[in-house]
Amino acid sequence: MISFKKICGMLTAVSLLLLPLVAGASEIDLGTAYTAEELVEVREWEKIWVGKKIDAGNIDQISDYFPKAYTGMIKNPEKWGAPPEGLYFYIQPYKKVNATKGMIEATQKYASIVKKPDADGIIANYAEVAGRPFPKPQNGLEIAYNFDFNNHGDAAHYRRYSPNINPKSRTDRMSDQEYWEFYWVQRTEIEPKPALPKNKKGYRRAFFTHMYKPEEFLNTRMYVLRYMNPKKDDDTYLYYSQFRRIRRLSTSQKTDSIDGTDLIYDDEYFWDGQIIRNNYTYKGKKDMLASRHTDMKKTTRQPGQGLVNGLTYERCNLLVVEAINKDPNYIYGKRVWYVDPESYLILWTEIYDENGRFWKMFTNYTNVLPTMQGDKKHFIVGTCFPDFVRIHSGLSNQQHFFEPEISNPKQKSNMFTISNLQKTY
Amino acid sequence: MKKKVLFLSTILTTTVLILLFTHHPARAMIELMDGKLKINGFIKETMYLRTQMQDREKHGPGGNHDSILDYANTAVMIEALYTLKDDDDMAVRLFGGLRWWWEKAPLYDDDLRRSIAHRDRKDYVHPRNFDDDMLTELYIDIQRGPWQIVIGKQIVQWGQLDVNRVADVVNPLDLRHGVPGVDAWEEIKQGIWMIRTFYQSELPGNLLFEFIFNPGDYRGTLLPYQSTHWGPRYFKNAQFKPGHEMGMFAWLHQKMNRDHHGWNLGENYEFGGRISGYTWDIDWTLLYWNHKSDGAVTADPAAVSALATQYVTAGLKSMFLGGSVNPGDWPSTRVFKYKRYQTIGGTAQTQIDWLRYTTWDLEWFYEIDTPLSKGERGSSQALYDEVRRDILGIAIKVSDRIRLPKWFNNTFRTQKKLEISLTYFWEKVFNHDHDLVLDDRKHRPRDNITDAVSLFLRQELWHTSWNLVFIGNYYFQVGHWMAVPVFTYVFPSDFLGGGMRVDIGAKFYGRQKHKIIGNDYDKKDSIILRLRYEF
Repeated sequence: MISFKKICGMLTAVSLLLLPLVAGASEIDLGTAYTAEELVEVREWEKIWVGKKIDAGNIDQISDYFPKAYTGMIKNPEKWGAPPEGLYFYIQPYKKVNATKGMIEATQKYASIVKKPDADGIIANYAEVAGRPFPKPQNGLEIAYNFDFNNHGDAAHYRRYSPNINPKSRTDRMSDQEYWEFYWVQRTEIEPKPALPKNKKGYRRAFFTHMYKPEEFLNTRMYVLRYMNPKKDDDTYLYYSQFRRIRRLSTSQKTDSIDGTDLIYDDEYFWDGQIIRNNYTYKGKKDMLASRHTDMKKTTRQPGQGLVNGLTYERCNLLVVEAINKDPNYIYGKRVWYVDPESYLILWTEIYDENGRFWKMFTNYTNVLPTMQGDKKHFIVGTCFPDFVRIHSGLSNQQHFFEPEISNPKQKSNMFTISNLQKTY
Repeated sequence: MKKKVLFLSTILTTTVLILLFTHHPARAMIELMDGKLKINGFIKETMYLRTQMQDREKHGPGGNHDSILDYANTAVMIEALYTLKDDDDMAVRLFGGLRWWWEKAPLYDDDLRRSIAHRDRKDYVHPRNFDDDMLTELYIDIQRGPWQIVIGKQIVQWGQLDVNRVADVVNPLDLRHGVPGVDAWEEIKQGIWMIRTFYQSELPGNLLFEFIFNPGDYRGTLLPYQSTHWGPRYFKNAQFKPGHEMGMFAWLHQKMNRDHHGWNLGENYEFGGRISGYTWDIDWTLLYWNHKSDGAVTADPAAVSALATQYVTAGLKSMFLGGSVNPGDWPSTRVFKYKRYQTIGGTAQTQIDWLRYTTWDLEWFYEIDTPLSKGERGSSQALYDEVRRDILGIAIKVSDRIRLPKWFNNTFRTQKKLEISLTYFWEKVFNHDHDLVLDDRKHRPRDNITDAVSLFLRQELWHTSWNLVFIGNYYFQVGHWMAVPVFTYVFPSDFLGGGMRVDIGAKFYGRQKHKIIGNDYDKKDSIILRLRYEF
C-alpha cells in the first residue's frame, strides 16, 4: 500500500522534473535585440540621449546609428522641404517587443519540424507550419523566412494616407488606399490555426486594395493572391472603376510603380514577393536607431516635407541582410534589409540600382498595437520612402484615418474574388 | 457685351461648382451620415478649338463658324451611394448618378448657333429629359451569399478594349457630346432599366453566372447633331431653305429619333447573360444577348425616298418663292427600323510569360441575322431592300509595360513604365453581296471584310504630376485614322483639395485620299483644353 506521503513525494519529484519543460514552453526565446551585457551599455547611452531633440545641429553625434543617407536628410532640411525649424526627432529608451501568444505557441509547436530550405531555397513543409520557423536563424535565407512568416496577425485592415512628396516645389499629390490582408495558412492568431480547412487552390495570402486617391482611381480596387507554391506567380486582378473593367495584371507589373506613388508593388513591407525570388546574405548585426514605438498621430509635417517631424527612435541591434533578386534584369540591383530581431519586420532598407549605385532608403515606423484577439502585435504604422536620385519622397501613415485593425476574426477569405471587385461602392 | 457676360458666367459657374464640392483634402469623396452616404463626381470644362476647317465652314455667307471655338462644354456628374445594410449576411446598397451639361459654343458663335436646327440646339445646349439625359444610373444592389441582384437603371461593361466595342453589347452609346477614344466609355454610354443577377459558384473555374433582363426600355444610339462638333457639317445655301436652319441630316435624324420604340413591354424586351470563368490560366467569358439594334439598321426605301422628297420639295419651293419654306411635319409612318437580332460572343485574357509577361486579350462576337440595308453598289443613297446576314468580329489585344531608358526616366523624373496596348480588329460579313450597305461599319464598298488597328499609350512624367495618354487607330480598308495625344497636369493636393486636373491635347483625324469613303471627322483637327475637378 502506497502511503499518501509517498504519493505526494512522487508527484513533487515529477513536477520538479517537468518544471524546466513547462517553463521552456512559456518562455521560448524568439530572439532579443540585446544580450544582458549589451543592454547595460545601451542603458548607459540612453542616460545621455533619451528625451533629446535631434536635428541638423547634433545628428552627427549619433550618425553611426543611422544609414548615411538618413543623416544627410536631417542635415539638409531645406533640400527635403522642411519647415523653418528643420527636421527633427526624439530619442526614447529601447523597449523589448514581445511576440504574440499565438506566435509563441506556434513556434513552440512547429519550429522543430520545419524542414531546412533545399537548394532552391524552398521549405518542403512550408504550408504545414506556422510561427517563427527559425527562432535562431543561421543565415540570410532563414532570416528572410522569419520575415515571411510574420503574418501581420492573420488578418489586417488599415488605410494609408500617402502623400507623394515633391520637396523642391513643396507640394504633395495624395494617394489614399485601404488595405485588407488575409492568410490562409501559417495562421497563429485566429482560429482555425494553422490553416483554413478549405483551400483547394493552395492560396497562402491575399491583399485587397481599395483606392480613393488619386481622384481618377477613386473606387478602383485590386486584389493579389499569393500561392503556397513558391514557384507560382501571384494572381492580380484590378477593377478600374472609371472604365468598370476588370484587368488581370501581368507579373511584370510587380516592378512598376503603383499609380500615384513612387513605390513598386514589390516594395510593400520592403519585400512583397515569394522568398525564393532573391538570394540572401547575412551581413551581421548593426546597432541602429529605429522607430519601434511611434505614434504617427503625434508627428507633424507641412506640404512638401519629405520626412515627418516628431518621430521617436530607440536603439535596436538589427540583423543586416543583403537581398539580390535572381532576375538579372530586376529594377533594383540590391536591397539591404535591417531586420528587427524581435518581430522580424524590416525597419530600414537601402536600395541600389542595377549598376550598384545607391538609389533609395526606406524606413518603417512601427508600434505595438492591440489586436482584436486581446493580444499586442508589433505593426507598421507608417513608412517613409525617399528617392535620393530624383530628390523625391513619399509617406504612408496608417494611423491617419483609423487605427489598424489586427486579427479581426470577421475578416473573411471570400472578399478576394472577381465578383467582390465589382461590388457597388 | 453679351459674350462678355457669357464668358464671365462660365467662369463663375465653374468656380462656384468647384468651391461647392471642395472639401477636406484628406478625403477622396464626401461622406455623410457616418459614411453611409458617399458622394463623388466631377465638374468638367471642355473646349475644342478647331485648327482645321473647310473654307465653306468659315465665317462668311453660308459659313457656320465665326470663331474656332467649336465646343465649350460644362459638365457635372454626381454619383451617390447609400448603404442600407452591410453585414456578414447581406449587403443592400442604393446607387444613383446624375449628370448635367451646358454647351456654350453655339452661344459664343452666332454662325454656329444659326447652323444647328432649332430642336437639336435645345437638346444640345442643355439636358431636356430627366430620364434620358440626366439620370445616368439608379439602382438597388442586394448581395447575399453567392447571389447578387441589381435592379434599376444601369450601365454594364462587358468588354475590355480601348476603342473597339466587340463584346460590350448591352448599353447603347450617346455620341452627342463625345466619342470613344476621346471620352471615357462611361461618359458616352446610356443606362438601361434592367434586372441583373449574379451567382458566384464554387464550380471548377470559379464560374460566375450573370443574367440580364431588360423588360422593354429601348434606347437607340444618340447620334451627334448636325453642325455640332461631332456631327456632320451643314453647308447652307442662300436660296435653298427647307425649314428653319435645318440640313438634310438633321431632317432625317429627327425622324430616326421619332421612330425609336421607347418603352414597350411587349416588343422591346432584351435579355441575355454571361458566364465568366478561369480555366487553364485563361480568364474567359461567354455571352449571349438577344436585343434590338441600337441604330436604325434598315430603312424602308420607299418611305425614305418620300421623306427626302418632302425636304427637297420645301427647299425647291424656297428657291422659287424666296425665304424659308417649312417642309411640314414628319410623316407618322415608320421609316427607320430597329430590328431584333442575337449576338453571341466572348472574351479571353491570359498572360504569356515567355513573351515578356505580356497580357493578351481576345474578344469576339457573332451576330446572328443582323438586319442590313441594300443599296445600289452598296450606297446608302440608293436603298432598295433589306436583308439579314451573320457577322463575325474578332479583336486581339496585347498589353505590356516597358521600362524606358534610364536617361528618359531621369530626365522626366519618373520610374513608371510605359503602358502600351495594341489592338487588331477584324470583321467579316457572311453571305456578302456587293449591294450591302456597310459604310457605317467602316467597310469599303463591295468588301465583306474590314480591319483596323488601335494603339494606347500611357506614361507618367515628373513623378505623378504629369500624365501622357495617346490613343490612335487606323482602319485599313477605308483609310480612316485618328490620333489623340493628351497631357494631363495633376494639381498638388493643397490646391482646392487636390482633385483638379488640366488636360491639354489635340485631336487629329484623316483619311487616305484615294479611299472613297469620307471621314466625318476629317478636317476637324482640334486643340483639346479641359479643366476638371474630381471629388
